[in-house]
Amino acid sequence: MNEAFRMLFDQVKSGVIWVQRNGVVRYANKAAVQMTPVILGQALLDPVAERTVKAAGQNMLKLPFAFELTTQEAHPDTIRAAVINAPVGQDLMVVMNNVSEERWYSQALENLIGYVEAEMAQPIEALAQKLPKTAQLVQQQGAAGDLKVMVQEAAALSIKLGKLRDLVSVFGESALQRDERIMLPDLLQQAMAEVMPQASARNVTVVMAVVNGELPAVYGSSHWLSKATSEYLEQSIRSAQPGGLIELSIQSVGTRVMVRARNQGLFVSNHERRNAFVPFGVGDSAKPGDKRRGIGLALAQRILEQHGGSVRIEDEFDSVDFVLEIPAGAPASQDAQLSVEQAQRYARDMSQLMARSMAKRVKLDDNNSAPVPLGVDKA
Amino acid sequence: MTHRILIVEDQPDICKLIRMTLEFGDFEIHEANDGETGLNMARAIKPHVMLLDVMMPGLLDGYQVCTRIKQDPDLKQIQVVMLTARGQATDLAAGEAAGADAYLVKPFSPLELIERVETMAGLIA
Repeated sequence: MNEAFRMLFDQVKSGVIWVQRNGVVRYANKAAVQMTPVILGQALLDPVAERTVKAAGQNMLKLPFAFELTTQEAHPDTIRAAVINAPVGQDLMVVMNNVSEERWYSQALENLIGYVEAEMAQPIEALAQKLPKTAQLVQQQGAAGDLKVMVQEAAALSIKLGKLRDLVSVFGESALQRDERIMLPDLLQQAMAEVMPQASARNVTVVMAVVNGELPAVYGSSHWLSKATSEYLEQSIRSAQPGGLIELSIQSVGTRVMVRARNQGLFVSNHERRNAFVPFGVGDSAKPGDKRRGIGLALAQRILEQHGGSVRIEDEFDSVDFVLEIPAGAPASQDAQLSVEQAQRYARDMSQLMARSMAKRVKLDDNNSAPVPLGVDKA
Repeated sequence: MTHRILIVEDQPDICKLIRMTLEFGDFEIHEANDGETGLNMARAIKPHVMLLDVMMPGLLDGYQVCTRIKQDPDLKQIQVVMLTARGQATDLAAGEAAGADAYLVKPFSPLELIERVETMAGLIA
């Protein structure tokens, strides 16, 4: 194996073992050694891996061939492996990934969601409800500066915790209500009023273009779509340069309704665009000093996705557009429960419908066979 | 005279059940599965009664179709029955504002439906 391959395989996260067709190991990277015992110049020590590689070397398996291993530990991890042809020569390669490790991260995320839902959602809501009254009391009693600051900080923390609770809610099990009729211009006006303090603080002007013609209604959860729109607007304001201008527009495009917040004279790199949607702002290269984007766009995106829509950032030549898109009209889904209930009503009424129809026919027949006065032709 | 009925409903199962119900009467039945098609068919066939679902995918929902029908001098005589799974006061008010002539909440009684349609079509006065 040449040096370039060695350098390449030393860099990858997956375990890579280069073997001869007789099963003798020629190279193993660091990740591979952590997953399965390997000695250069000998056959693989794991019996499953050894048998599989030998079978592949004797052309008894169709490559690529996937199989599973376990680590040799008290609580073994599962390794997903595949035997493939080496990039040069007749040799083989075993590529391995630790599935248990991947599962650990997804399990940890699920646990976090479950924890926030079960342990934190209610206390956060209770705190958020009590804070305005606490702030009032502090003002009335002329509290010391420290206490005022503490209340302000608690209020700020409550807002952030509330967003975390919302994010967990939309990632959680509970389905969003999706049958409320919503006119997006109204929703946008309401969201604009909510984010105006942030816009004023940054000296950002937000103007809304006049809507031409009647826009289609959208259907969904008014509560969640309102949150998503506020988060989306807040994010575009946060991204705008101080003193900048954001032009908002709504239009129907095909079967979708599109809201566009255009930031003039702004540039967003691909890196920023990608990381903007990662919850908590922790992207691939987030550093402790990096400005975190919070959870706003991730929350908005998740809510929109659950309504069949999306949120994205589009980079124009001299502007950046924050685009929110949602299908016009109701979601095209079959309400099975309603169909069943309607069928049950039909079954219940069917005998009466038949009796009614029969009675009408009899009445019609009677009319047709009524005695005809003499001298009058029935036809 | 056979009366023309237009069903505008996006859920195939519900649409089929309405058709099966109306087949107990003497009607010429037409179907559309979204608001735009429904409006175009209404212009083409001028139904006597239109059974119009409120929540439909696409650019026009039931309320918007109803509003357009009632604003069109050529179509406003069509009797519109709104069909919806939501029967709250605000929904009924929205139907009334759109000019609907009647409102049936799903799941509705097929017997009530056919009687309502016959009355509206002028079969039972």
